[in-house]
Amino acid sequence: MIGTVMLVEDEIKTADMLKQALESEDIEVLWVRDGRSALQEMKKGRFDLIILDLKLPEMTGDEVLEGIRKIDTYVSVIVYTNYQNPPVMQKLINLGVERYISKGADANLWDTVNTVKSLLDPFTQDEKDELLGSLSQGAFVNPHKDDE
Amino acid sequence: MTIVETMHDIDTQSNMKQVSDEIRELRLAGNLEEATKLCTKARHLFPDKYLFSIIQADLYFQQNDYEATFIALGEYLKKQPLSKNRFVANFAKRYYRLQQVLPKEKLSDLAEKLCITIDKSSADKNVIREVKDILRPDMVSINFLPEHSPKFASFIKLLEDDLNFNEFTKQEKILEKENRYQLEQVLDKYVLTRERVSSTRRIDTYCASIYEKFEKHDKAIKLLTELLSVRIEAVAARSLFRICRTIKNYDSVDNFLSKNPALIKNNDFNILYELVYYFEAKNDNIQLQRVLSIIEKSFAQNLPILETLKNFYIRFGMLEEIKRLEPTIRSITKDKGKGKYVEELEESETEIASTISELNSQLNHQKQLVAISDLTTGISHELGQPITNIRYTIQFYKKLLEKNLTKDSVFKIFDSILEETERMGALIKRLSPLTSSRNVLETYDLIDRIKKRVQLEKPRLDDNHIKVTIASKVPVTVYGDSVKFDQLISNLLLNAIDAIKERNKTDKNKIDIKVEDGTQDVSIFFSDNGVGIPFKNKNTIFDPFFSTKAPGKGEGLGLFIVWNLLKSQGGKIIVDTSYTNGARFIITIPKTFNLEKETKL
Repeated sequence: MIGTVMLVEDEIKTADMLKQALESEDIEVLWVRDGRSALQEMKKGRFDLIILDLKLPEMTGDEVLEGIRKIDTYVSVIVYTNYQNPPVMQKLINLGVERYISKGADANLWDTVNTVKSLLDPFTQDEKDELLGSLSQGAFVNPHKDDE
Repeated sequence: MTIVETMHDIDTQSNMKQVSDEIRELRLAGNLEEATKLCTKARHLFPDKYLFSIIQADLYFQQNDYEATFIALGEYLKKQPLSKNRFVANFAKRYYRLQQVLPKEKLSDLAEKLCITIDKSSADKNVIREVKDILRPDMVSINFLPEHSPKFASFIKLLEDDLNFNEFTKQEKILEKENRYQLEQVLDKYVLTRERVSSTRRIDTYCASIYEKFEKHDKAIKLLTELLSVRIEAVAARSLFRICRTIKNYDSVDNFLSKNPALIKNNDFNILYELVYYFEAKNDNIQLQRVLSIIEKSFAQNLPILETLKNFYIRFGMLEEIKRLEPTIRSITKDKGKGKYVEELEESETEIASTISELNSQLNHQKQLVAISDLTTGISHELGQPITNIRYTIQFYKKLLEKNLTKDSVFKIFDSILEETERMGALIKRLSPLTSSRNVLETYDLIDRIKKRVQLEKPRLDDNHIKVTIASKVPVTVYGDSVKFDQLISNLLLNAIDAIKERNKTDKNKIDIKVEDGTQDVSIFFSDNGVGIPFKNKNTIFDPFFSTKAPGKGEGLGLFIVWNLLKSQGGKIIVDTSYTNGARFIITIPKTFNLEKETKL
């Protein structure tokens, strides 16, 4: 498991597909259908990333984000929508969002999954190995080795 | 040799100073007669300077000739002031001296004459106003006793009875010209407070018009209201309306109409004319249209009235009505034709009408652009959801199926995609009343159609405990597109159900439908006791995708569709803003739908 994501989406089929796709990539997904439930879940536990639809019943996406930021200033947030509204976009950027993903005719499930993965885990396995390999010998002292 | 004779050689400014110095010397030497003569000459030499008029006033005052002083002051006030404050202060100083020496009655008389003189002159408007403020206390002096003035004594006698009405108006006109302010005082004392009796009715009505002319609106309204409470007369009613219109406050009319509601049905043109303004001010479109149509029907051959009516139509931007009226006006004008003048008039009017029509079409075009943009945004959003779903589904299973393909999973995909296309189809169907152009015209009973629609929505109505009342016993037949009418009623019902649902109460939920059969139109009053419409949304509720409901709970097309359905049928819908217990729509549909006329629009 590489991370826990909260998906805020009122459209059942969209949520179902995205949830399954993310889970197939070993990402844990909690799905909620409105802003109120999203904020309740936020208070209960930590998430590594939030996927937030902007058009939601009752609370709108930007209002939900406002609430999220009061609880957690640093959590990564992806907003995705098929609806562009510049004043709202400005507000979202000021509140802090990592990515903006289009739905509708441009919707691409696996691109979305990859975006989520890259945010949860910025390095691929090869990159990790390379990074570790570049460290000087003995950079990490393994206390157990001394015991042997 | 006097200085005046040499003045041509020297510039005006120094000349004026020399002349005034000379006058002063004569004054100091006590030679007032010579000083006056010189001053008169100087006034003619410098006609646009006020200096010599004021010196002359002082000279006359010194010689105790007060009437001449007033005339000189009148001359002074007609001049162009350099600084308004100093100019008026100069006058006030002299007037104060006159106040000290003149008996009240004389002062009042002269003050009034001065007032009338400057009123008629081209003197500076601000100066006139300030000077009047200075003069007013003396003109309406409490010591003025009109009974003792020969001018007024006989007039007061005439006020007592309508018998000598002609003589009364003759004298009134003279007094109005010469002693306006005293006349007002006399009316205040002898007419305003007396009892309204039939023997002085004509005079009292006439006096109301004098007050109106003097812009003493309160007094005019008092007089008219009292007259109308004794007997209702078109002339007095019309004046009351007109004054209220002038002061932009219809309280007195409201009060009067609450006691005499029948006046609204009056067919006197002058009353109808005022009713148009009244209902415009009251924002009562239904009544406004009713009055306009009465005028059009009742005075079909009266050219001046038709011209007035046309101006009303122009004022309210009722282009169709203007077009309808024009042939009639033209034919009457031709009959009475007065040659070239008439034609020119006609041309210029046609020009005005076409300019207005052009402006209107530009405005409509702007509105249409906004509406199209809203519609496009709305549709693209509504379609975006199913498209996302189809793409996600295909993309998900495509990857999954690379590894293992089963019949079940393929069917799952097909079903899912079919479901989403149905969703798209539903949106198109929802919008179809706007796009379908087929007009199946037939004669149908409107009440019957409404009842059937209500029956169809019964499950939904019952779910929300809504009682529907249709108040009309007899059938109302209409010739038009019955399918569109069905769509109209269904949309209104759904809209009302949503509004009631939003109110979120289970008791006494109701929808009332009242149908009024008119001569040309049928009016439907469609009310619900749901959440209602805030005044600011009065016009926007008909915009596409306008919805106060939460996203996903209503796409905001219902009333937009209703509006368009009515537009295509020559009907109208407005929000009754006076209805506060929920929402009320007033729908008007023509009884005979003229396809040719409508499609030309």
